[in-house]
Amino acid sequence: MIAILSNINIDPIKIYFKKEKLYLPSYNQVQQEFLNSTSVIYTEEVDKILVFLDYSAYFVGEKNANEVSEMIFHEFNYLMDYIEKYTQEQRNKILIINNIVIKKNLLMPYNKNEMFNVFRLEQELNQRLYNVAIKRNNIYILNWENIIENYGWDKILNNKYWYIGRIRYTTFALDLIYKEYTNIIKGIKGITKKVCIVDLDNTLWGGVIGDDGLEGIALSEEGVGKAYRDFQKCIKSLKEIGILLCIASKNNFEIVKECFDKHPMMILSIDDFIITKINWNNKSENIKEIADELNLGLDSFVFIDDNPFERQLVKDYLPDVSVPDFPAEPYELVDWFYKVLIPEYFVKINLTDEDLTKHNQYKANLERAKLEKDVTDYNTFIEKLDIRYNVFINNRLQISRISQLTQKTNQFNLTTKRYTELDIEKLLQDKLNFIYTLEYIDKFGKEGIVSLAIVKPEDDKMFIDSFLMSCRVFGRFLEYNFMKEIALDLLKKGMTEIYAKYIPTNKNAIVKEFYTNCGFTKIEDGLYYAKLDDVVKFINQNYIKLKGEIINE
Amino acid sequence: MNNDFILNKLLNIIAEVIDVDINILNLNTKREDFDTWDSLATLIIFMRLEEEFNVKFKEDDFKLLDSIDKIYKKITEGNK
Repeated sequence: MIAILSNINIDPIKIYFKKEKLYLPSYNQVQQEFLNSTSVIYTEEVDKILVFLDYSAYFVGEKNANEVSEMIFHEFNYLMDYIEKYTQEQRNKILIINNIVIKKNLLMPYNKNEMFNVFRLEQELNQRLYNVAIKRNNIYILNWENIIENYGWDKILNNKYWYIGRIRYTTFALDLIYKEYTNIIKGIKGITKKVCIVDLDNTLWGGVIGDDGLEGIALSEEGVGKAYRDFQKCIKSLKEIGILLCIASKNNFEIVKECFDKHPMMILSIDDFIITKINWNNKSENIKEIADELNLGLDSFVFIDDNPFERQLVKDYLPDVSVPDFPAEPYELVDWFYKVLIPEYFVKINLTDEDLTKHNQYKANLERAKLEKDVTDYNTFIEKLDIRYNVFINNRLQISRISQLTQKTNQFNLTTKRYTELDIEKLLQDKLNFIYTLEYIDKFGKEGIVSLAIVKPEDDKMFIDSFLMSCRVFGRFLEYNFMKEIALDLLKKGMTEIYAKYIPTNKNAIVKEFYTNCGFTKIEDGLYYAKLDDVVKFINQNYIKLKGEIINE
Repeated sequence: MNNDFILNKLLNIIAEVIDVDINILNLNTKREDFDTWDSLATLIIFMRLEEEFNVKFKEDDFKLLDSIDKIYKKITEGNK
């Protein structure tokens, strides 16, 4: 359930929240809600809170903006104290709050002191807000300032309905607020596109390279050429936030390669793109091939092309691919990038280590795939990969990655139990619970922590509560080697037997036989048992042994 | 804008705001037929209609225009 608290009447926003349970107390009760420990916002039921604050209506007919400023400042600080305390206590709840923009109604609009006072108020409020927000990872900021900057108060305020029914904002503004909210939620859940595929001619530069040649295309430091050059900077910056770049263009590869290598104004290099499909095939075929090679679903892709005909073809053949409209004129490209592309498809709230190394990781994967193709026999492939692994036990530094893996892994996941960071912290407090994590390294690079198992007691028996592995690495005997290490460690800890569960979902059929393949006996549907000795023996006899070790803290 | 388009858009807005299926609404529908069509819902509906069509409501209209038929006439008369 989401709670929406505001100091103004924001009731009309409720029509956007029909799919979600909503708690929307009458307006101007924000402090009271935080003060009242029996309020719904303190119950388990509420998992999200949107706090929306607008102090603009205070500045009407005020000769001395100073007094009003003082009052607002106190009210706001008081509220922030409560928010600080609330978000500390309720760490499983998400709190979203807007940054503060004050509509500047000045009686003497050119009076420097008045200007400065209002400006300072806005600055002080936001400073306090950011100070609190930065300390708490469950506070998120709705970028109201950005909305006002982009669209202006004229489109936001609804003067008539403000006087008739205390409704402050236009439908247009409410749409934007709701959109911001959904973008933040998407960002929190990590629902974002992974790959940006671009066309070349009239998309990354003006003109057609095959016809106009290196000197003929528009890509420069002035006029329309600069618009394209700036757009290239934007596209390149996507790489910095973990978005993979690809090319799908109808062109001659040699000519394009020469253009990327030799054009003095080129920002992007051909190596910035993880896969390039520069040929005369259908773009939808090329995009499908890219998806197969990267092993990603088509719904992870955004396709950017200036040509409406090409866009329509991709939309028709691959409806899961996102195909945004291209701006009518290249001068709009940068604005379009920040107003449409980023918020619609590429919202990232925080960057993970994985985001920073994504390009290299996928590059390594493509090289692995190439090796697999070149080598005929699978065992030789595994040998040539030169896999090494490290196993960690109860490593507190990995808590956020552990939680992330339980949240994101669907296929190779025996029980699909989801854990928050707080859950993991709690698990680690009990000395009888063991969280094993596995780091993968091979000839082509590090993949980081890709697998984990949680072993914990249940009714006096040791159970494998969770066992999961990222789909990037399974099928390389890694899962069996990991299980063997766990069994060996549990033996060392004095245990002799182990139980395990398999809970089927519509995505994890691939691990249906996993425990029997590890030498377990099926007791009943979904329940398995084994002597730890037997697991070690079984795995040693049946699977390739990889190089690895347990790293003790 | 032709009148069918206006009616369809009007029904859409009302259905969305009072949270009912559009197919049960028609020109004969009255405000009193639905509990969810309260004074706030009226405000939101009128506000969206002003943004959507070239129409301005007066404060009296919030009481007087108590059926879809009356609202529709108000919008289309401004259209002539």
